[in-house]
Amino acid sequence: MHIIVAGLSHKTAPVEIRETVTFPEQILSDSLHVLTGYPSVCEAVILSTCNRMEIYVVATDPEKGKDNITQFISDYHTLDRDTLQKYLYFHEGTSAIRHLFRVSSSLDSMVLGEAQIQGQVKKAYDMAFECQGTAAVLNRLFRHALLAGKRVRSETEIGESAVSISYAAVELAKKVFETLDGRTAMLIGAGEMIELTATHLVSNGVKHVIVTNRTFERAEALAEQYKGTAVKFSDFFDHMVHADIVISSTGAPHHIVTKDHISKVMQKRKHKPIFFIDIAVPRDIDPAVAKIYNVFAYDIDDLDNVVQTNLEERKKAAEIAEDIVESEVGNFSAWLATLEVAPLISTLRREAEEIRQKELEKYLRKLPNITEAELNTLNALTSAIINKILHKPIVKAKESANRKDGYLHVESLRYLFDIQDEEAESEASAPGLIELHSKPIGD
Amino acid sequence: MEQLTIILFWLALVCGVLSSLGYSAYYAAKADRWIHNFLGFGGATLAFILLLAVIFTRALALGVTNTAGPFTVSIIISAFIIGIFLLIEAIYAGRSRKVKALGMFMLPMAVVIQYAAWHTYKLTRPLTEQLRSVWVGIHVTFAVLAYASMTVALALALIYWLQERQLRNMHKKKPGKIFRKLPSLEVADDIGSKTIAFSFTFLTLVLATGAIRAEMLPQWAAWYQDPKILMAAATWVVYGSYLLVRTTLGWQGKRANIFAILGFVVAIATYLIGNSSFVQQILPTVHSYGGGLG
Repeated sequence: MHIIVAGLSHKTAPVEIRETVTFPEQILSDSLHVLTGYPSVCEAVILSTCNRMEIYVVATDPEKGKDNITQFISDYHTLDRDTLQKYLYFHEGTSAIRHLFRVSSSLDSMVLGEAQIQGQVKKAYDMAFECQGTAAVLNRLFRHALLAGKRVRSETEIGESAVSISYAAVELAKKVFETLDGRTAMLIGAGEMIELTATHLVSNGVKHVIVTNRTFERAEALAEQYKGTAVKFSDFFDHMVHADIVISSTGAPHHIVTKDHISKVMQKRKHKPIFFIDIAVPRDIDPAVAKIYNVFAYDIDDLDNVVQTNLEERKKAAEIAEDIVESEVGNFSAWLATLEVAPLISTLRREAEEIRQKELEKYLRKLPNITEAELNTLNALTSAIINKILHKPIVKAKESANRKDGYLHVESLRYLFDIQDEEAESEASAPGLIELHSKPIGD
Repeated sequence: MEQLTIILFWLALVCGVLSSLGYSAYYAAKADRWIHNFLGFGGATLAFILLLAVIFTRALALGVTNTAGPFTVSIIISAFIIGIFLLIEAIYAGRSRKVKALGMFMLPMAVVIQYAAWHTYKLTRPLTEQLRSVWVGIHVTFAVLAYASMTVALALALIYWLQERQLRNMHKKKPGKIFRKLPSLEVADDIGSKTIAFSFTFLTLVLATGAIRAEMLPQWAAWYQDPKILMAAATWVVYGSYLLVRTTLGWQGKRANIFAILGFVVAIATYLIGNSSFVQQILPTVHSYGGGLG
């Protein structure tokens, strides 16, 4: 069997194509059924996100498999095969395994290290599993891929630091306050950028949101969104006393928050640390505010600085992640190799032959006067028995290797004869085989 | 038994060094590796147990009255520094893994103190009559606990200072290891203040137990004029001020840490009186017996 992936992503296809070739959740079950109906497709998983569409299959033949997938996509989305072929990429074998592992570790993502892809891969797999699109190989492959992704997340810093301005604000705040749980945030202004940052703050635990804006109605609207309170622009300094985090983004041409204001606020709040983010240009907050004791104030350039440094860090982390992926690909490939039928057959033959020789030796001791001719006959007889017994399973195994679900039979053969991984076979599995064979003979 | 003590001593030192390396590697590494955690935490735990074993076997070998000297006191300080750090790590593990960075300061400190103790290993003198009292035993143990937690508090003040400096110079300094690996200001300040409250409690008990014992001895009637005791009272005042300004004025972080650092300096001065032969010549004190026990 062959693992193949065919796909298109933000790297290979323009958005017009990507938005056509998608498999949203509603049609996923149907499309999986259609796909597994193709003659050479044994198992299939469809991963469809906004940046990529990938189809993972286990096929009996690599060329037929690729052809089937292409046919499937072009039929399903009524797309011209030639146009489609321009944007599709294919990987097979180890390269396909590596590709999936890199995808689930978000090494292939548009934003390196983004966290969503893991969930998307898991969902794609779960869907395929439910629709019975997967069996032994893809089950193992996807579980392993998710594991590799998890390892990369926990063992590198690839997803640790913020790579967007609004998230950088959260990251900075978490350096002053350990957690944002139960904190109060004040928003000065009600623009889009403020909304984005506030959403991040709230999802990180900020409990209470105070909104102020020159037009009070807009403040109220935004406050309602976060179940917070709106306050008048004229007296927001009175409310700042209760805020731990202040985000400002107004269109004002000059500083609206000055050092004097904050000195007074700080005295009222007994110098409890306070955190300012100024995302307005021109700035709303006088930079001199940052000099006040326990006041931490940042502007848009500071945040951008954080983002740039973090992006560099992610690239460094990605190098370590590639090593992790490579070692996991090795692990998986080792398992996959045990599914191949040819080595299984030769192991089976060798072990049977070993048993025959051992048993022959044992019984020859009871026949001291045996002649050369008799010995030859005995040899021929025992060999013939062994070969006859093994003949049918071997032929069937060879046959089924080329069938859709053949490797399942191969798996069970391996299980029934208790054959271990190829590396360990010589010592480990020989005793198992003797037991299995000696029983029917004894009876 | 004495052979065993020496073997345990060096084993503990090796564990301390390995643990220091583990925690430093944890700080320096790009990725989170279990080996660093294992080495750091495992080494520290083992070093702590071995140090306690050193104290125990030495007491068995030489008898308690002969062991209560500078060597033992240094070993206990070293053990307590590690012990307090492990306690902090255990308590804060759920809140902030970055507390581990503290190990990078604490473990080397413990190793240095332990190694310095080696030079006083042979210094065994039986305790004088005045020192053979339960009160003195408690007094010294409390003092060691206070010193050990002061050291931890100092390291936390240092961490706070480094992190704040990074946060205040964001536009000039790219966020680096300090930003990523050291704990947040809130946590550093929180643990720091709790450590100092702990230290202050024991400092109070040190003064109290010392006074109780001194009152028992008629020849020490003028104990409150002793320079070491006066200095210890000054240490108590400084750490007390730390707690006072925090609660009344709300001085968290940088301003409070001034007292933490000042307190440590005064504490070191207190320690030197009676323990350094040079200081002893200038300021004679009742605490001058068997260098390090003062």
